[in-house]
Order: sequence, then C-alpha cells, then structure tokens
Amino acid sequence: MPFDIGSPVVFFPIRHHSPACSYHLLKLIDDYRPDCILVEGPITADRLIPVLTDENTVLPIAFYYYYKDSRKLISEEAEDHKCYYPFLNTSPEYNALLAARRMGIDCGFIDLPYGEILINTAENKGIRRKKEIRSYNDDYYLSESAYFKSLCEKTGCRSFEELWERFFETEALFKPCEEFIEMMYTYCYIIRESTPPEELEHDGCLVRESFMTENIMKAMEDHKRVLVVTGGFHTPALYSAVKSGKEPKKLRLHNFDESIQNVYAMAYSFEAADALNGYASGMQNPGFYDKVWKRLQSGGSPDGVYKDTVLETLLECAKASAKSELLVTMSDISSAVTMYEGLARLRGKRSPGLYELYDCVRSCFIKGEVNASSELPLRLLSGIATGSEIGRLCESAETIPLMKDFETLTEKYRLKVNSVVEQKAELDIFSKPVHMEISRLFYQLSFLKTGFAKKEKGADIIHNTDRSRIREIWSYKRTANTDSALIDNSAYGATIEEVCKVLASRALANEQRSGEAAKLYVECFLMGISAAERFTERMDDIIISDGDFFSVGKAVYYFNMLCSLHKLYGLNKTMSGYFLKKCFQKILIMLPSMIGVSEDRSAECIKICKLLYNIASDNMFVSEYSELIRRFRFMAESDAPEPALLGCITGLIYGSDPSYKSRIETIINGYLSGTELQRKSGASFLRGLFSTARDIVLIGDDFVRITDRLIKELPMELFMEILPELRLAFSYFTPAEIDSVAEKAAGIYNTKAADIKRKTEIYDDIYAVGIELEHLICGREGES
Amino acid sequence: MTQDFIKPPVEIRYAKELEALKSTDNGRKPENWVLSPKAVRTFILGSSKPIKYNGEEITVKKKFFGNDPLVERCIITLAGSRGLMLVGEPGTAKTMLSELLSAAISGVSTNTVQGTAGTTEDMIKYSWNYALLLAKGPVKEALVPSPLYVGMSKGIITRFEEITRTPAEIQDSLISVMSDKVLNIPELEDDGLLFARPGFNIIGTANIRDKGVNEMSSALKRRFNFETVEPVKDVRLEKQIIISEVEQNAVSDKIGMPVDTDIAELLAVTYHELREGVTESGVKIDKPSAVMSTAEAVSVFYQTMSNAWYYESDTMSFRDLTENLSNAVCKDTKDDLERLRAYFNTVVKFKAEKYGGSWKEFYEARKYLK
Repeated sequence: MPFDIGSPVVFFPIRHHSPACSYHLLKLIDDYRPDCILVEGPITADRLIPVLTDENTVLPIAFYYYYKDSRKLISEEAEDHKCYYPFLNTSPEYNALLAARRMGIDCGFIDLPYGEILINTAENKGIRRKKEIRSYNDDYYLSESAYFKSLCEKTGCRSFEELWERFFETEALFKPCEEFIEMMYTYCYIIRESTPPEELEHDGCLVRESFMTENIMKAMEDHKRVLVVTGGFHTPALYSAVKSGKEPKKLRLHNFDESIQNVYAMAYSFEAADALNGYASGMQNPGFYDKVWKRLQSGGSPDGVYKDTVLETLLECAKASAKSELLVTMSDISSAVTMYEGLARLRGKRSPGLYELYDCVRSCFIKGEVNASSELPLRLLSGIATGSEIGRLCESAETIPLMKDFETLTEKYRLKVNSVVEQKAELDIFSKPVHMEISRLFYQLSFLKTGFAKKEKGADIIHNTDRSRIREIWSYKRTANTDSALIDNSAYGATIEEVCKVLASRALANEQRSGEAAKLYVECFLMGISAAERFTERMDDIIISDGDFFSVGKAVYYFNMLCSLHKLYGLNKTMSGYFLKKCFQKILIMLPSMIGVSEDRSAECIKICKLLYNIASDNMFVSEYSELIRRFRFMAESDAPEPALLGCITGLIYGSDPSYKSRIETIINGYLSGTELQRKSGASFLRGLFSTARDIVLIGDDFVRITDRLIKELPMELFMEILPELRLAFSYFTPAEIDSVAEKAAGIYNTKAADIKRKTEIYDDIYAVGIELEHLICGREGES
Repeated sequence: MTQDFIKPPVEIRYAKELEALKSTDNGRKPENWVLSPKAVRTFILGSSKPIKYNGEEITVKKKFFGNDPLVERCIITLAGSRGLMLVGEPGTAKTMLSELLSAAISGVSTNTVQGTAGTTEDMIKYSWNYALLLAKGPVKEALVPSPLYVGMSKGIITRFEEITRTPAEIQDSLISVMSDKVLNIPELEDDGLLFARPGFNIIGTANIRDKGVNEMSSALKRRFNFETVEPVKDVRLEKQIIISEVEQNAVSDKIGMPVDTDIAELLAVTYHELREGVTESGVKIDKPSAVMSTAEAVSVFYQTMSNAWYYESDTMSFRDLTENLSNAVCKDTKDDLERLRAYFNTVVKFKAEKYGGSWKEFYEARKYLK
C-alpha cells in the first residue's frame, strides 16, 4: 500500500488492543492532522463515543450489542444474538476516537449494524461462529492462516502471539511510522490473498467492506483528510475499493427498533477481555500490555519500556509466589533477569518481552519437573499478565434502569461488586431482615441467569435438602455476563424484581405441568415475589388441565412445603394453601388410576400417598381425609394392585382404622399360599406396609409369625433373590424396634433375642473335621 | 574417523558441522566457550542455510526436535552461574541434549559422571593413585581427577547423568562446588584449592520415574535451573526423528537398506497414541505403564530393520515388528500386553479397515503379540 501522508484518505491497519498500533497511530495522527477519523465498528454505536472518550470513563469498558431475531431473518430458531466490543487503554480504536475528541474533529464508526452483519453471515461462520462468548472484532484471520504457521516454524516462535510480540510490538516500536504501516499492510495483504473469496463471502466480510467503503467515500466528500482505522485484514480491500473510485453496491438496511437491536456501554474487566481474546479477538494478556502502554505514554520514548515492564512483572510474580508460600530467592530473581536478557539477545530481540518472562519463570522459579502441582509461578504470572482491573462508566453514561437498580441495590447492601475476586456473604436470613433481602436479591439475580451469585450452603427448599440450616452462605462476583444478562433483560422492566416478575409470569404462561409450575412458585417465594393475580389464574388453569399424577404430586409437595414455611418466613399462606387444596382435590381424582403403576414408579407413588395422608391429617383437610381413605380402600380391593403400593395403602388404612389389621393378615396369607411369584411379591408388600405402618409388627406377635412363615417356606434360591427387598422392608425400623422384633422372633422359637443375634461358637474339633473334609474334597478334585 | 567407534561422541560425529560453525561464528562468546550462544543454538536446532567451509557446503542439521525455546533456555542457563538440570520421562533425549550442549559449548561431551546407587564422593570429586600416594605422598601427581575436577580445571562442562540415582548425601557434595566454584582438597594443604575456570558448568539429567529414589535436597535444587524435557507431541516430528535416527544407525552399522517411511509413520502413530492414551480421532484408550518414548520406537524399528538385513530380506517383516513392539512394551507388567492387544483389536483394526496397506499387515500380525 503506497503510504502517502498528503493523500485525502489514509488507511491505518491495526490489530485490536495492540500498544504498538496505538503508539504509531497517535504519531500518524500528529503528522497527518486528519479532519475526520473513521473507525471499524457497528455504526449504531456512534452515540456511545462521548461515553467511551469521557475523561471520567475508566477503561476497560465494552460495547454490548444485541440482536433479537424475532422476525426470523437469520434462522427459523428466532434466536437472540449478542456480542462484545471491548475497549482497553491499548486499543487503537479507542485512542483514535480519543484523539478525535481532543482535536475536536468528526469521528464515527463505519461498519454495518450488528443485526445486518449477522443476517449477511452464513451459519457458523465469521461473527456467527459457535462460541461461548462472541466478540465483534475477531482477529482469527490474522492468527489462523497457514502463512503465520510457516512464519512461526521459520522464526522458532511457539505461537502467533509470540510472533506478533516479537515483530510487531517490541521491535516495531523503534521503526518509523511509515515502515510500521508497510509491515502491517504487507502481513495483512498476504493473509488476505491466501483467504479464499468464498470464505470472505460466507463470513459477511465483503458486504461489510462494501458498507465501510460507502461510508468512507461519504466522509471524503465533506472532509479533506480522512483517517480510516480498521482491522488489518480489511485494510487492503478498503484501500483498493476507495482507490478504484467505484461506487460500492448499496445495501438496504432493515428498520429494527430498539427492542430488536441495540447497543449499550458497560463496564468490563481485563479478565473478561483476556477470555474474549482467547478466541483470537485481539492481543491476550491485557494487564501486561497495559503496563507497557502506560510506560510508553508517560515516557514518550520506547527505550527500555519492555525491559522495565518485564522486570516489574517479574518482581510482582516473585512477590505473589512468596505470598503463596513458595520460596523465591534473590538468586532466583537475578538468575531470571540474566535469563530473559540472554534469551532476548539469543533470539535477536531488542528487548525481552512477555514470552522471555514466561521462559525465565519456568526455568528459574520452578524447582523440579513442571507439572500441575509445581507450575504455580506460571499460573501466578498468567494472572498478573491478565490483570485485574475493572472499568467504570462516566456519570453521564446512559444508564439502563435495570443496571441502575443493580448498582443501587448492591450499594445499599454493601456488596463488593467492583472486584475481580469472588466475594462471600454469610446471611442470617431469619434474624436479620436485611440479610433476607440480600438473599432474595441473590435468588433474583440467579433467576435472571446473571451468574452473579451462587449459594454455597443453606437450606435447599426445592430439592428438600439441608432444611435445618438457618444461615445461607453465598459467593458472588460481578462478571461481564452479569451486565450483559441485565442488559438483555432490560426490556422487561426497570427493576430487578419487576423483571423477575415478568419473566416468571412468562415462564408460567408457557408451563403445562403443575409440578414445574409449583417449582416456579417456590422460586418466586425465594425471590420474595408475591404472586400477581394473573399468576394465580394461570396456576389454576395448569392444575386443572394437568393429567399427570406425578406432576400434580410434585405440586402437592411444593405447596405443602410453602404452607409449612409460612410461619418461619413470616408470610401469608393463603395462596399456597389455596393451591395445595386445589392440587389435593385434583390428585384425589387421579389416585385410583395408580392401581396399575409400574414397579419402577411405585416408590414415587408411595411417597405421594404418604404425603397425601400426612396432609389430610391436617384440620384444613377434614373433608378430604375420609375421601382419601375411601379411595385407598377402593384401590386395596381392586384387582392386582402393585404389591409395594398395596402394602403402603393398606398400612395407611390401618392407620385410620386399626380393625383393618385382619384384612392385612388375609392379604399376606394370600401371598404366602400363592405361587412362587406371589410369594416373591410378598416381600414387596411388606416393604410397602412397613413404610407406613411399622407398628403393626410391634403390636402382638402375629405379624412376626406370618413373616417367619413367609421366609421359612421360601426355597433357598428364592429367599436369596428377595433378601434385598426384605432388608429394605426392615430398614424402616429403628434399632430399638429391631430389638423388639428380634425378641418376638426369639419367642416363637423359645429362645432369647441375644441368642439369635449371636453366632454359635465353633469348637476346635468340629473345625478340624471341617478342614479335613475340605482337604479330602480338594484332593479328590485334583485326582479327577 | 567415525568408523572406528560403535557410537562416536557428538563432537566427532558432527565434527565438520562444529568446525564450520566455528569458522563463521562472529557472535559474543562467554569465556572459554568454543561457540557463541547463537552458534550453539544453530548447532542443535539446525539451519537451512549451508555454511561454506574448506570448499564444502555444510548444512547444519536439526538434532533436537519439538521444543526450540527449551534449547534456548538451556544455553542461557549454561552461560550463567547456575547449573542446568534436565528432567523428564526416560527416552526423551535428555542425554542427547546434554551431549550436544557440551560438545558445542566445550568441544567435548565425554566429561561425564554416571550416577548410580554406588556412586561415591571420590568418584565425583577426586581419588588417589595409591602407588604414587605411597611413594610421593599427597601431591597433585598422585591425584586422580574426577570429571568434575577436569571440568573445573579446564573450564568445560561436566555432565552428571542420572543424578537422582546417586544417594542424596553424595549429590550434596556438589553444593559447594556449584555455589563457590571451588573444590577443596585438604590433602594438598597450601595447594589444596581448585578454583573453577570460566566455562565450567554442570548439566545434570534426572529421570522422573526415579523420583523419590533419591530426591534432591532443596539446597542443591537452588543451584540449578530446571528444564522439563517432554516427549515429542507432534506425530509428524516423531516420524521424522525415527527416520533420521534409524538412518544414522544404519550408516554406522553399514546396513544398506532404505528406511521404510510407511512403517516409520505407523510406528510413530502407534507410540504416540499409546503414550498419550488417546487416538488421533480423540478416542480414549488404555495407556501401557511402560515407557513409550521415541527412543524406544527407534529401537523397535531399527531392530526390525536389522533382522530383515541380516536375514537377507528386502522388506521389514510385520511379524518381527509386532514381536519387537511387544517385547518393548511388555516389560514391567502383564497388563501392558493386554493393553497392547486391546489397542490392536480396536484402534489398529479400525485403521486397517480404513487405510489398508501397512495398517492391515500390522493388524494381521497381532497373533505374534506375546
């Protein structure tokens, strides 16, 4: 690219977050004195430039773009799309816009709006690549080509990052600006030439460049000296297109309102930027290069900048190692300095860089083999090179109400949200009202999938575990995902509580199963959200239309639990009581259909039957109680109910009517006198029975005799088969009850419990005979 | 000259390359170094640009593969005041690297202490010629210098092989030499201090499978920079190493048979997959507990090739290859044989069906696994 400072337009190719690019770009701006600076980036973000360049804005920040494909212009899935465009102090785009502000000249972004880029990109290509986090400014072209790989092989560099630092950062700082641009252009041109045109088409590259060309040409009409700052990969194409003077093909943009496509500025962190850069979206290790950039800015000359930064980082690493109780001596540090200086000389570098730093820490700080346990110094260095700073938006930044609410609440509750270190909160929710409020906020933020808070310990009402805990321990940390999730949901309300309410109502509207709906209701309870009227109506509909016994059973469980918690949480139980009654009535209707429940679901069914019986014992359910028992009797008398379930319901009937005992005995006798299969089922019956009416065994010895008969009459093979089932049946008894059963069993055989519990002593002479017999048998076997 | 030895030392084997490099070496050299650090790097990592020397064009071949920055770190360590400790799995070319470094830096790679359980302090420092000692008393003439003594007095590298096989208290006799660069010989009284000349340093090697046998003291560890030499991760590179090593062995043993590159690739893939415990398609497999180093692969290949050559066959036999592989892998435990069989029955079978050719023959030879 012939570089001409007298030209009406100058193109500056960059790599995102590169200090050397920023350094030369500022020099060029000083020399060229443009009257307009155009930067690659979706044009929709122009309104955010004053925020980005405000003197009170602390970088890193990011522009967060979203596009909701509700019109299915991208795919039938109508997915939501989002991506980040981070700005660091080292970002050339930021420095260009900052310079424009300082100079009071026009500036702006020139790329297609985010939604248009997506629409013009093929599936899983370019900006639509399947990635956990998407970045607007991908550098993958620069770092994934075969050209760079052969360059690495030739120069002995391990990675693109090392190659880049060596030739475009440390060395290039000392080159004249013109030469640097030529270097960048040559590298990018070769990469561009080796990229197949169809790939450019699929990636949406050509459409974007056409749009950018159009904007550059438009700017040239009104300005005399236009500086264009774009990713190096696009520069050769833009240069050729503008030079040709041909009007580019105009693209008709869609008219999307703010609810479909928008962009916001948000605070970002080095950590998030580094993770994003891991996807080839700019230089990695932002913490290290930020130090380089600050030195470059303060000193003005690149002399010693890298050397000083490397030494500073090395000392930080030694200090961090010492904090982690890893001994790093002065001798290690001095040896490390000798190492990085020597390596730089050997590699023909003017000054050492980050990779020499990694090398010297690996050699001089790690004593022994490098493995997961010994590589701590390398991990510490990596953390330092990533950096831990978090950005801040200026006061004048347009604040989304939802974000504002988050800021207000976290400030109110004194939550440390501006730290990259995970924080802990121990909440005494029942004795301190403010702790209950914090807990609810954490639940709300978890519901919004912000990834902000995670409950480490505390009662888990949904899964019915650790219910006795009265404290909750949460860990929390604000990440880029927190902000983006809040921005994503900003359309649904101005406060976190409001948004949760809307989303819960929406989720409920789409729910068909009462179990899941009741779970959502519990989540709302934990979030401290009171059910709206519409919520109640919908819940009614769901319960009425749900035909799944187990789903309604689940709902019964959740609502019953909420009723039992109302005192503890100081809430009104009217609504949950109402829903519980509704579910109870519904499940009563479905109960007889459980006669033929399959064996694998019988345990679940038993659980529900027991729950229903317990609930019905409450005063609130007097009328339902008799109906429940009537239905149990109906089930017990029907043909071939599942044995364990039959055991369970007969036990429950016995609980309400002790005279039912004789019927139970008849049932057991039926099992005993039946076929082998029926006798086998007898064990399952006992399991069900003991789960609800263990006392039946403890009163008198009839049941022990029956059980004894059952066991005695079983052939050994069958006994062994049902033994696990029998053991399970007796597991419902307490140790004292087991003793009592043993006493009864011993009574049948006129002996004592202690005797049947202890094994008989084997006398020496009997043992000797046994051994002799064994040898005899083994010997005979050997002979045969 | 190389024909006179079974295994000529590096400085003889690559004498021409070393001479050529020396003749063109204008770089800054640490005192007493034969070559500058840059030339040492070129000697080990090679250069595509031939050097004109004595009317000949000498191409310096790459001799150590897979980790160029490690070699660079080793060179810089040796130019400083700390010793270099190479640690890693057996067969990862630690010894070869230490020989190459010694030959390039000091011109000699044979100044070596071999660490064993029976290594004593006098083997490391010095001992006496008892006839002379009795005749003349404790004089320098009666002193038998150890490789360490020689290294210090001449200002050259001393190699200490398998240092962790030596008892810890014997290893610790190096501490004062490493920190003060002086060896005390009390028997010589006034003449009893040997100051190390510039250029002296120690390259130790330690096998991580011996870890815990004689763990180094932390005082000694502090005197060394450690480098972990890892197995070659790239299959193509491993194939290249097998071919080049086998070619060199064949030349010195006068085996006039070309190296079968297909089998070299097959063996490289087999060793790589068994070592990493994962196939090229990402399927996890059982790793044998035996050492699956490239050096072992070279040995299996070369043994198979020798069989073919001496039993006058034109091609390498897959039966020999499989038997040699089986012998190399199944050393420590019978389970390794089962693992190898499982590898054949799944991975090799799949490759045989997919690629045919050598893989098919290799699979058919599975019956010789025992």
